[in-house]
Amino acid sequence: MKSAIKILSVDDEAPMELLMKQYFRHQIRNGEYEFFFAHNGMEALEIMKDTPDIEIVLLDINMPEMDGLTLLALLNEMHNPALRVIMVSAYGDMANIRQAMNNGAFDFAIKPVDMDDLDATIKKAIAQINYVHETQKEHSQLESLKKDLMTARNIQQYILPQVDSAFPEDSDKLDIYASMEAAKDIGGDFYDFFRIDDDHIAFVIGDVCGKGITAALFMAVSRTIIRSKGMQCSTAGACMTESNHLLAAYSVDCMFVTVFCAIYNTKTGLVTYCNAGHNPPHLLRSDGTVEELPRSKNVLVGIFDGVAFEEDTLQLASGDALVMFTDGVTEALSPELEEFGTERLRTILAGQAGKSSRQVIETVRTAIKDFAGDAEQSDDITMLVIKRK
Amino acid sequence: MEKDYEVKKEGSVLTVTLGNKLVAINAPALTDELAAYKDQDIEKVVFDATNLIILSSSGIRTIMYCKQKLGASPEIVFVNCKKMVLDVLDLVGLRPFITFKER
Repeated sequence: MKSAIKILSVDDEAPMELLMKQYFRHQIRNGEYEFFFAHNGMEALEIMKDTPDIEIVLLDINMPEMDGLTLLALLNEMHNPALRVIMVSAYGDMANIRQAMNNGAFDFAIKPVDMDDLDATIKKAIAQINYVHETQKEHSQLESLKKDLMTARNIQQYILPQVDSAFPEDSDKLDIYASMEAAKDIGGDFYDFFRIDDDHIAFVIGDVCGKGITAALFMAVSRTIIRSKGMQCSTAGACMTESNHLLAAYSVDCMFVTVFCAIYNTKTGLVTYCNAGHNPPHLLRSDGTVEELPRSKNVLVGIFDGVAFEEDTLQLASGDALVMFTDGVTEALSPELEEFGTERLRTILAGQAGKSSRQVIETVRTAIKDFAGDAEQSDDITMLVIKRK
Repeated sequence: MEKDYEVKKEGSVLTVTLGNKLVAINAPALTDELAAYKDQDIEKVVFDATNLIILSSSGIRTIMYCKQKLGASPEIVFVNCKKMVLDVLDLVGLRPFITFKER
């Protein structure tokens, strides 16, 4: 049941109380209005202190001890956005009424009070109060949603592997680093790396279509399935074939993910990879040469069940690095809406020979930031670099 | 965003005339409009891509929606597809699933 709207009438004239009780008797009996009465400003403040959910004040201006304008100023200091003050005064007191309106009073009524008119003014005030409550409720829901998004963002960051503690036992053979910057609170990009056996490490980069919560959920499912299949399957192609089969079953409304998945032999430097609709990674040779890997021969993941995914190989020599990224890198926009582009990326990478994986990624990130300037980040920006020592 | 596409149905063929982009800001609305044809035995969806220059992953999702959700895997046709759009479809491996025509 809706609770009664609490109305405080502040007037030093006793008949006002009787008048209110008489005129609004139906609303009082039905529990729509609950009236409180004070005869001066001091008394009114006491009542407001005891009953802070009073939301309408009918306020006389000329009263002993504390006048209506002073009380209005004190009520304003309570910072209750729902509180509506209706000034009640004589016609000849227009200057004070004007001042009250300028000081935030909601409306006014002229004495002798036309009760029908006052009734209409109270109803108008109630409509506004309800609107304020509705807005406050929506604001609090939004705040709660923002908190949920922050939690989701933390979870998303948490499920990505920690780059600083990756494969310490292979630190003499391998240098790996990654970063993911979501365009929104949460993103649809991901990277992953995990050990398969003593000599093999799998690494994955993926980009789920769309952004926001839907993409983030599909990203979490994709990452989990690919990791789980990567542990079981002997090849990158088999991992993608199996993952695609499962993701096609989970894909609601044609969600999909582009994936580059690879298995790296830490002893030989051989990389066996499967590119499933993802943009081609770049190979940064130790002499500064940059090669773009061939385009994907496979379809993206999560749409067509029963498709077999092909794989390829490449050889990393000592000092070579494989630079994987999502299209948020090459499609980052400048304020003039120019794309960062593959050529710019290649030029930057060419100057990174001999640098650590972390340095490579940080240099590219800085270049993108400089390029984008004040332009809003429109897509997730994710990079994964694996370098053979 | 102002609607920049048009959907027409003639028999079992759905023709979608696209604007210059099919991206996150207009693709979901087009998908919603296409959903109305879900149970109408669509056999072919023709995308008139004469004006299309930008196709994002959201746009690809709309195309896949037609393939997966309208009828029994209808034929997807792209008319007058520019190289830059063809490159995107090629990159994500969708070229074999689409018929390309010039007009």
